Amino acid sequence: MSIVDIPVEDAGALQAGRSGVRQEVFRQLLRSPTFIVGAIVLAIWIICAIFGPALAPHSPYAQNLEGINKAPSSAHLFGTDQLGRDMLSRVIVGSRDILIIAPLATLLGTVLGTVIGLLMGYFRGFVDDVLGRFVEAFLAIPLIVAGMIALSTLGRSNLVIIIVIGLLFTPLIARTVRAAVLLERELDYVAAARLRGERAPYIMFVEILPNVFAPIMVEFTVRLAYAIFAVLTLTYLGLAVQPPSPDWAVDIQANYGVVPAGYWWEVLFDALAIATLVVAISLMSDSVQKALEG
Amino acid sequence: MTPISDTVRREDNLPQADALDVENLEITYRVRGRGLRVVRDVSFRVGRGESFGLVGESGCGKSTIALGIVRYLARNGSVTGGKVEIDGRDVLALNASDLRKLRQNTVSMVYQEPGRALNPTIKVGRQVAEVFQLAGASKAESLDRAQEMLEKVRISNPAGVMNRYPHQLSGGMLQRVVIAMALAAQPSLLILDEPTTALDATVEAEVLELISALRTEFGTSFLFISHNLGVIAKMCDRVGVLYAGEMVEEGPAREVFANPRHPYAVGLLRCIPRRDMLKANRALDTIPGSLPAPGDVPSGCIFADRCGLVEQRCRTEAPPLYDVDGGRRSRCHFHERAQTLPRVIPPEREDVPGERQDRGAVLVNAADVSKTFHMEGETIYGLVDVSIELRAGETLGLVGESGSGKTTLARTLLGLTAPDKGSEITLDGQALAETAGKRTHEQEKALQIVFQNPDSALNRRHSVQRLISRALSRLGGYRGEALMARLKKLISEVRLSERHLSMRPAQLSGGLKQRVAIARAFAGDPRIVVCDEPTSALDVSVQAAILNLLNDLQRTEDVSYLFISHDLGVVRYLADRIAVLYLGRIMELGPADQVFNPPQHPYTEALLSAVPTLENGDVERERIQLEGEIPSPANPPTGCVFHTRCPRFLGDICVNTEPPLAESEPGHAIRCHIPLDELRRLQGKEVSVAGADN
Amino acid sequence: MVRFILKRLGLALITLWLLSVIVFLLGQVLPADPARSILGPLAAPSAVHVLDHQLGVDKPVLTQYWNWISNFPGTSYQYQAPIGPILLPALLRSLKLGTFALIILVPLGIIGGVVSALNAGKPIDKTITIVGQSMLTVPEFVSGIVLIVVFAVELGWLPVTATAPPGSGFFTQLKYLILPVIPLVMVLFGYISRMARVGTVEALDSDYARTATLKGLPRGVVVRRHALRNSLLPTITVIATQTGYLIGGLVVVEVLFRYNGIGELTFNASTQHDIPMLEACVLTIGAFYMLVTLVADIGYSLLNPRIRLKAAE
Repeated sequence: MSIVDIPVEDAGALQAGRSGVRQEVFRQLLRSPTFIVGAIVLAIWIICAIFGPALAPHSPYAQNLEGINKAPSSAHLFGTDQLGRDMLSRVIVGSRDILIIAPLATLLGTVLGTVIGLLMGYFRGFVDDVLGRFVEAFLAIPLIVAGMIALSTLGRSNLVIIIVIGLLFTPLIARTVRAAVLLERELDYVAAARLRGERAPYIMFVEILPNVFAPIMVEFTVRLAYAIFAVLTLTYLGLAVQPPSPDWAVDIQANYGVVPAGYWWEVLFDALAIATLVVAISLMSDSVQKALEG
Repeated sequence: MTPISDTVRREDNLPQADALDVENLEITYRVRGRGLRVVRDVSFRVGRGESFGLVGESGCGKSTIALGIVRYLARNGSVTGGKVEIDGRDVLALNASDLRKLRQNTVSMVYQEPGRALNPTIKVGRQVAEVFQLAGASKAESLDRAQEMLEKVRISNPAGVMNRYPHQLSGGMLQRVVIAMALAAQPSLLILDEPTTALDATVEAEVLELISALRTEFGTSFLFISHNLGVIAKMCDRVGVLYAGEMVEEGPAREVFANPRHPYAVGLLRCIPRRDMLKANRALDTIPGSLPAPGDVPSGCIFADRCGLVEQRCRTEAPPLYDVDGGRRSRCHFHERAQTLPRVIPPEREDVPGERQDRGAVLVNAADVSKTFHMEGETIYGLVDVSIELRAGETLGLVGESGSGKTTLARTLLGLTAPDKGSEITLDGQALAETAGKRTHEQEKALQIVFQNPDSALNRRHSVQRLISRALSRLGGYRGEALMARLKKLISEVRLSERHLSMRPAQLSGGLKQRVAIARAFAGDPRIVVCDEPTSALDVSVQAAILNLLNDLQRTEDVSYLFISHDLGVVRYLADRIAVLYLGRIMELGPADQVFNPPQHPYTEALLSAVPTLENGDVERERIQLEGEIPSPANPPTGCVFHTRCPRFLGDICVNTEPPLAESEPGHAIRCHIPLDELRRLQGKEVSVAGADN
Repeated sequence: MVRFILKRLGLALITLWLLSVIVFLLGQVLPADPARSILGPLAAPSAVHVLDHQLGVDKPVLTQYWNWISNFPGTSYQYQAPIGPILLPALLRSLKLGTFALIILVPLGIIGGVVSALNAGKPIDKTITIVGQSMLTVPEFVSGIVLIVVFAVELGWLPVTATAPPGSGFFTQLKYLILPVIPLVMVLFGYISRMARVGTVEALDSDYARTATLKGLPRGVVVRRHALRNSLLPTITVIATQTGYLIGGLVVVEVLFRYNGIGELTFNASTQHDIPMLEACVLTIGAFYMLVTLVADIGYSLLNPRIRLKAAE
């Protein structure tokens, strides 16, 4: 009696309601208030970065030596700085640099880190040992310190910042990816792939990589927040972008001296801008982490 | 309500309440805002000194009930109905302090994974002593009493073990420690949740013996939870069968298993391969359909969708627990005729070419295969001079416990692990390269594997279609139209539907996932498929369907199987020949019926007697006791590696000289110094293939 | 056990050597013209040429490297003096500040995390988590400025700089260090408390915590004796890695509060393009951080029975 005639196992085998992992994650994110708040704030700043000059009521560069150090008023919602420039406009346009540099740097670090992590985790042995030494060496230098030496010797340009931050994120991300890959390679689907004669690049990128995507996503969002942090700090220290470019950290550095004179608005709004942006990214990264874990 | 005194003396003949009394228990889990009633209307009692078993497949709620009884449910779980009384005390009404005292003195629990149940950073002795300290003993005194308890659980070096950390002890040892800790306070009730599931067969037998002995000594009542019917039959007086959160049958264990009165129980027992069943003459029956989603409660009988006896009444009227004669109960409107449940798969196979006969030509020949691992300064002898052959169309069963090397052997044959120099493996007479990457395409195609755990074996990010198509194109060389055609054929052969193609593994049940894995293995038209515990991770009812499938595929595709399993019942059912491994050596090799009956290697003998089966009946089987733990493969004993535990130990010859694997009869080899005739005499009269044991 | 430590030490030395190579590359090899970066765009080409020769730019790379390493720490360009006597006291001063920060940060973070875990889901948990999360997003220079403005300038409670007058007693020095320490603690508190929380929750949910509770042990004992022992172990490693961020923050804080630590030294070297000083500082910082990680690694191994016993065999 052949098996063809026997009734098939029932469709009830499906787990109720799961139409796919990715949709599930998105839905959970959209339901999470922290994610939504973060996303909205980030969206606002992105709009500022893209449409800055159009949105700003005045030119951020326009000096008005008669209207210096004016407190917030209906004409200048955020007041004016020491050269009479409108603070609101400077805050709006100041978002541009940071929102270009930080994500690019993080992306660089993520891509490099993923590749190195995959190599280290999959091949182990000699490759792991050698790359591991490099990873540890790079890890030993705190980001700000590395930024200082690089910007000083290689010149102050956005490209240098991006590369330095990207390179310094690489070991951090590589470490996480490596740990995840070590776990995955023990699973049987990797062995099954080897038994099909699949080559190493296929196994690493087609089989393993999709499964370690979650920790990479989390790393990206966490590092992004720190990238913003670091770029701002380096800018503040005067190592990066220079005045008269509108930039939050630059303004804080320039105007910090006059705060005791009572001109608090020249620093506060920039500080708030920084805080809101970093908070937004952090909120989003937390929600992403929770959604991918749960 | 009687107050609990801290030292309940069982010698006093005071009228005492049942150890455990559960009535109409209902437990609900809140998941994503919805309340799922995962346990409904469960009632049973465990009398003084009695042993009660809760048995069921995954999702039946047995572990949930255990945790609910001691009020240790997860944060989103709660007892939403019913009553639980331990020693007459209403557990659900206790305040925190009284609950703590109850846990300290009256009820204890033993868990499935003893390694995780102990704190990894505290020495084992201290953890046991904690129980005594809690009762008020001084530190020194509690350590002494802890050591005494370790002796009671038959640990051979109690003082040494006291000073060890959990990671330094084996599974069997750890479980004894946990048992010692549980019984230290002399509780009225001991709950055991799958206590031996994670242990090897011979170790499991020892631990079960221990538990029985302790039960007599301490007079404790047991609530024994397991999915293994054989274990429950052996250890319990009464049993309750659970299905999807409800108790569907209850009664004395022996009677329930001999004469079930609920269709689910009937179906379940038919899924299990029995001693007289061979794949050639009797297919395993299955239970159609699958488990309902947790908390999904229909208006009628919970089992109606899968029941062969279903009638209209079943769907509208949920059956209560009917009383059946003999102190039994069954939740079925038609419990009197439960046994007339029609079979899903007819037992007889018509086109059988005959029983186990000599199969075709030798396909794979492994000669002197050894594998030594070097890890962190230790040398681990995985395989030592193993030689076997695999013939066309046959199933070779590999049997053994931890450290036996069965998985290592499979991996070397497949090329996933390179064997030591001097090992020779050939396919069709041609040498196989040591790693899969270096083998020819034809060789890759010919040898495939079905892994134990489908969650690990299938890439969870790939769809079913992709998983199988990749194998079809890589191994089978199919493309385009031909690939789609072959894909559809494969799908139907493993009893999947096209609807499943676009799904990911996470959306499929265990049985369906394993079918995908099987389809993938067969994609390249292999000649040999290694089955590494293919059904161990599945429920019994699902296992039967998969075994039937493997069987049928063997005939239609003419493949040979290297079938690895620790479940001797399954191996006996499926295998034509069997190899018994111990610490990397073959102890016995031969046709299944010869290996499973005397004369046999003492280890095989002990292994067989260790497995708790349902065929006990009224015959008191003589249990072969094996002393001690399985030695570590890093430190194998000298001479015959089995001599440290062998109940038929001869003397110096066993310590000094390793016996050769000698053919005692054509095709049947045993590695033992005892001559065949002597074995025959010692192990009882020779018996026929389908007969009873000893 | 000794072999284990020696092996770790050996690996660390290799990494240290690699680090020196990286620093050397950044400082002297990658820049197209080191002398130009030192002297600036306005200097005369002849002066640049002379300095280049002095720096040995025309020599082979390996010779340059060897010169640098064998003369480590070398001579500062801006001070025209040996770096050693300047670097060492600066390092010690930074250590003082950093240690002070850690002494406050670590207990605070751990207690915060554990309290959060024990009251998971309750208001106190949410409060600690939100406070931690918000604080860590504020860069040190922002919080530092706010603190200076509020506490030093407006209220006058605490001094504006971090350097106490020479000869001050211990407690006076401490008073000067209070303001600088706060931004450092603020930034790292969130992460440490979160790690402690996660570890503790995991420990509380574990099978062995279940065993302990079902044995009848009081909750306090379960938490202290069983859960915390296991959850705090990984926290050691976490703290060691966070030291890296601490050092980064230290730089900002030292500059802001005008404190002569190694951070300010590095910053000045960077703005003055004092390459030798810069290299020396970066290498020292890197080496120090590696030392911290090494000590944490060994400490963790000693405390974790699994690793300790394996290493002892």
